[in-house]
Amino acid sequence: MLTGNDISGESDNTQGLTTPAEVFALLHWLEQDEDEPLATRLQRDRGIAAQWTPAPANDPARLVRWWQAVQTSTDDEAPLAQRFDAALGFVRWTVIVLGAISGIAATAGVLAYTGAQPVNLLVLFAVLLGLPMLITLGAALLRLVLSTRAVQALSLLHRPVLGFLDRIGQTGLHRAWGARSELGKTGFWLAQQVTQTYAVVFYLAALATFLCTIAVTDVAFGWRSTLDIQATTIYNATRVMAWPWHWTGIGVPDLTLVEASRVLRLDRDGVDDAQLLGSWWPFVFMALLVWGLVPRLLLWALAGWQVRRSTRALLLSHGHTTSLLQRLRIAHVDYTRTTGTGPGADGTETDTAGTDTRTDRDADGLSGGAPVQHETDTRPETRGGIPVVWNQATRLPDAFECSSLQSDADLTRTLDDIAARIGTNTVANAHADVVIYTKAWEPPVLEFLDFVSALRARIGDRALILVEPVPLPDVPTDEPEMLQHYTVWTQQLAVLGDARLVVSPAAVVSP
Amino acid sequence: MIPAFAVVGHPNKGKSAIVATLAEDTRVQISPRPGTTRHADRYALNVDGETLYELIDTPGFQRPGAVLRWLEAGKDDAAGRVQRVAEFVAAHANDPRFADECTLLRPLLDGAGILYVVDGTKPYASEYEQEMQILQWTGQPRMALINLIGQGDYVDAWRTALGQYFSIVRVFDAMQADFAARIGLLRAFGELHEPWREPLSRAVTAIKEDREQRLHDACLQIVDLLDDCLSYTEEQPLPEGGRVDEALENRLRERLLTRIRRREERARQAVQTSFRHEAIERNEAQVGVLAEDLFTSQNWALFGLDRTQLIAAGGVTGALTGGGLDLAVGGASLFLGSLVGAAVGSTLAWLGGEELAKFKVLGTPLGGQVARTGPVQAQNFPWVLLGRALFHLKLVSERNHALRSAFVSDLSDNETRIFESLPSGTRNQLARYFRHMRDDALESDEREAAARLLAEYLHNHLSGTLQAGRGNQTTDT
Repeated sequence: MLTGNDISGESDNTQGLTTPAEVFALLHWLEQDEDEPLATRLQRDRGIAAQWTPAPANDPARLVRWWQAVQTSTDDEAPLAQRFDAALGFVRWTVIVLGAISGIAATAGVLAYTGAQPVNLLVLFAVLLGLPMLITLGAALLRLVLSTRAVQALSLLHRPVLGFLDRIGQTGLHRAWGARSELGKTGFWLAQQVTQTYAVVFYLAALATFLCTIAVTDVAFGWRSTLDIQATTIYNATRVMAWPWHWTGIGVPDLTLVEASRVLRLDRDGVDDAQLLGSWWPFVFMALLVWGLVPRLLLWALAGWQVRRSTRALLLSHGHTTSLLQRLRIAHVDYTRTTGTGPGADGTETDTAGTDTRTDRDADGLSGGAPVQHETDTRPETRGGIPVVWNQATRLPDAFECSSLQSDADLTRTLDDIAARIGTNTVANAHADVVIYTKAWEPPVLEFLDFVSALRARIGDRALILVEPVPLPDVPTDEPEMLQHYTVWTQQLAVLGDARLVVSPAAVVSP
Repeated sequence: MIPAFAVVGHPNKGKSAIVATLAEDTRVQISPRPGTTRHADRYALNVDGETLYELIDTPGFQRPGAVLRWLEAGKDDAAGRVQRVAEFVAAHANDPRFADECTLLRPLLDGAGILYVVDGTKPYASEYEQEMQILQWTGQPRMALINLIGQGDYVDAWRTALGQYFSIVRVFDAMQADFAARIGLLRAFGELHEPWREPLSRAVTAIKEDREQRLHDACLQIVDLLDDCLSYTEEQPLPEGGRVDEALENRLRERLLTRIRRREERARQAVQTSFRHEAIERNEAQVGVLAEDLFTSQNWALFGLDRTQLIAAGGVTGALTGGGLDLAVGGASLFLGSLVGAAVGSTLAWLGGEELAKFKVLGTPLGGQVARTGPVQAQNFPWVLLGRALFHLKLVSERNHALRSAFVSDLSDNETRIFESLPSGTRNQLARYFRHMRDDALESDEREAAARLLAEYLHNHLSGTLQAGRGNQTTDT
């Protein structure tokens, strides 16, 4: 049983969770625990695992330690295990009583002796050895051949027993009976343990009854059959049966005894030595012991071992426990997002809805107006405007080279030069006053908007400024990628609210 | 101190995409429009409640030239550069003109490492040097990530330029990076600064275990899907003297198929949630074979077993049944049971392969009759369902969280069928599970074992063989 509530890890107690009662109690607890939100379970289980120093060496130890930890706060499952054990005990004692009664009754029945006819050994062995063996073998064969449902349907004895245990212990055994799962196997071997307990007690009672009968009555044994069975056949059979204990020299019938025990001969010729017929009893006793009790004891031990094995397998393979083990073994990983604040030393939000306050158009005195137009007309020249190349977007003769690297003084000088050249521009019907070539693939940053604003301030509100995003040499201007670039440029420049600022596809390409 | 990494760079170079990929967060705003990110949003990786690292998504540089000029206007002393940056931030804290620069520089002054992002498909240009110089002034450990947004290839030029400013330069395709590439990048973060190595190493271990766990959970969802769909039936009580006609049969059949379709949809949503891809269902269009109906002949051809595999699987199931008989008679049947079982199983697989579900009229214990359709008997049905579910799981598990495009589920040209490489051992084991599911619901341990089998198959045989949504390939780093 689980004892203690040490969760600190100072002791590595791995005792516990070995009996079906304990395992079913744990599984039932976990079944109910499924109602808890996963986050709660994770937090609890990871918290428990975090306290283990050193960590348990293996999964069973982990489960035991976890079970000890959760039981400190929930004691209601221990009574469930106790109730299951009590129910199993009740079933066991019931079969012990039934086994004893049936063993005594069956043995007394076959040994019933009036003195007129000796006890027929063939009947005795058929009832006390043959029939139980046939039933056992038959059940084993049926289990191999039949489907789960057929096994369930035919298990008239096991089903009520497991159904009873199910009701007490919430085990699920009844439903899984006959299935090839670990739960089904546990139920099967648990039932086998119960039935073999019955068989062991049956044979113990039979042997005791036999000895008592031998001791207090004078029983004669013989054999008879309507079939034409020779004494040598019976003799050979007894030799085979007595082989395990023949070395003792006790309870090994000889041919004389076998021939002398045939009832038909007895009827016809009488008995030469009636005392001889009583000398069968050591053989009968040893046969019941070796072929009746010992195999049942072995089966009972096997069932007990299998119950422990399948219980452990169930513990480690059940979905609830594997999920729990994963929670205990594997750290809980999650990502949290903290929405940051915008500018401001104190972290306060300064962004205002719908307005980009990062531009300084107002400061430069630009008037508002229609948003920037996106012009689709392209012509293979600079459209009469003063060419300005921003950040080495292309190479053009006589173009003004501007970039964000320029010092304030250089920039002022460049703007002055552009303004001066506009004044002397002789191109007739010029489409634009200034044409700025930019890299189409680089979105406009505020530094460029600053430049445009400064240029506007320098050349006046009436001058038309054309911004031409230049594509890479291998990207046609009508590519979806380029159209997306134009859209971005148009949208970004729109924040300036400059009615005389137009975005248009470039007629040149990047160098 | 918790390792923090500020993802910085020029606008529109995929900073937010990198954050979305690494933080597995589909809510990160990713847009072709520059300036979408206005705040320094933090994405923390927590392991058992302990934050192991933080990613900080920052706005792009808007006025790097002006910033650099301001910085250089002061005393140009290497020892005083960090202080100079701090002075800039302090001086412009309330200046909207340098809002973005202050927002991105502030975490660096607080000790965050630098992940500088550029686009390797666009040419290198000298104007980027202003940004690199500003970052150099902060004195923080820094790494450059060459993102691949378009079609061009200027990676070599970028490597050369970036190598002069950054100790580590890596190519990281934010949109296409698979899990291995992400893990590789996290490991590289740990190389930036010695004290960060241990928490990053723990983070990598935890993330890998977490992914395995999610994969297993998803496989459990698939097992439950199969378990449910193989047992579904549809019934309708028949009134006294009621007629059983083709319309009733068709109606019940359609109800059954609809129920299965809905169950499949539910399983998909669970898998998507498990991999933090809820947005697929909510926002994104779905195209490809998975968007098609489960019961189309094309789907059955793509995802089911072929006739040979089906007969082999049927034969194994039959042989197992017959083998029980052989065991029962101690082998005295000379294994005729297995042989006959295999023959019967194969024949049934051959004959019954196209039949979907049986329609029956049954008596009820309380009198009267019910019409029943199902469960689905077609031999290939569980394989088709499983094939679709595994393919969906593979696509979802490998889908990058930065992708905002449609969820494309096309099989690659050289991979025509999902179970092409299914080993016979796995096929036989799965056939056994299907038989158990048809017989009765799987027990908990069988369910676990089946999920492990699927996860193993996914790892060993599907990983890398299917083209996941055309573009989730491993990224060169």
